[in-house]
Amino acid sequence: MADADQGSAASIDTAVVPSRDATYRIAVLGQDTGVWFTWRRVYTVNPDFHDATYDPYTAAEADIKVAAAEYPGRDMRVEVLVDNNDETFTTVPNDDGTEARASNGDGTHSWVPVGEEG
Amino acid sequence: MAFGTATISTNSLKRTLADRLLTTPTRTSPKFVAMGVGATGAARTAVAADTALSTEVESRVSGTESTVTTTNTGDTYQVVGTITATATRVVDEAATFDAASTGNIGVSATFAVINLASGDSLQLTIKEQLT
Repeated sequence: MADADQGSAASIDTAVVPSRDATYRIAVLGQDTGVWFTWRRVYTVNPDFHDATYDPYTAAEADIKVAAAEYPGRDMRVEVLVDNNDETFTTVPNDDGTEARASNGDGTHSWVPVGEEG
Repeated sequence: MAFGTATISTNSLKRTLADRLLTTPTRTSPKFVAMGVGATGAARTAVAADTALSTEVESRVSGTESTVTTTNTGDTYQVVGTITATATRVVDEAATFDAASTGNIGVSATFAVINLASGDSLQLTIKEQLT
């Protein structure tokens, strides 16, 4: 006798991996803007951290290039050395793929990507 | 039939599943992943009798196979493949096959359009659970 409960079920999930690299122009905002700082590294939250390709930078903003495959979901973190203190900022992605402002825990520094080039 | 969204265990896949229980199966694993762009234009919805995609594009990729757990331990065959678009593609169908070209179909799917730019890739995770 056949068992009516037996069978099979198929499913499919898809995920687009964009090919286009992006350049994020990131500016440090807040009361300490303009003080000496160095962009230290930027990395994606998922799947792995990534040391971005850039030189130590001491201006108020910097272009950080991130390969498309390394920012799935455009969810990034950037770590900045400010006044010799390590600061880690986490982005809050917007629905449209842009990045909202992020800040450190006490609000003394924040950064915001001000542009993205495809 | 109008275009619709469906993911189907084809009749061919069921034959493959039975065959591969043999001591010496004659069919091979349906691990090749394919995508296509023709389902909407052909007003096609995936059905059990499917044998091919409407308009297959790009080369099939040999996916990464595993068994995973959906309900009971190891009850699901999974294959993951990533296909890169060599031109702008409006993808609306995908399937697994047991060969890099032609071959026997496994799972057949039609789905809402996914727009790919040239160079973009589509990662497809296809599962077949035995229930």
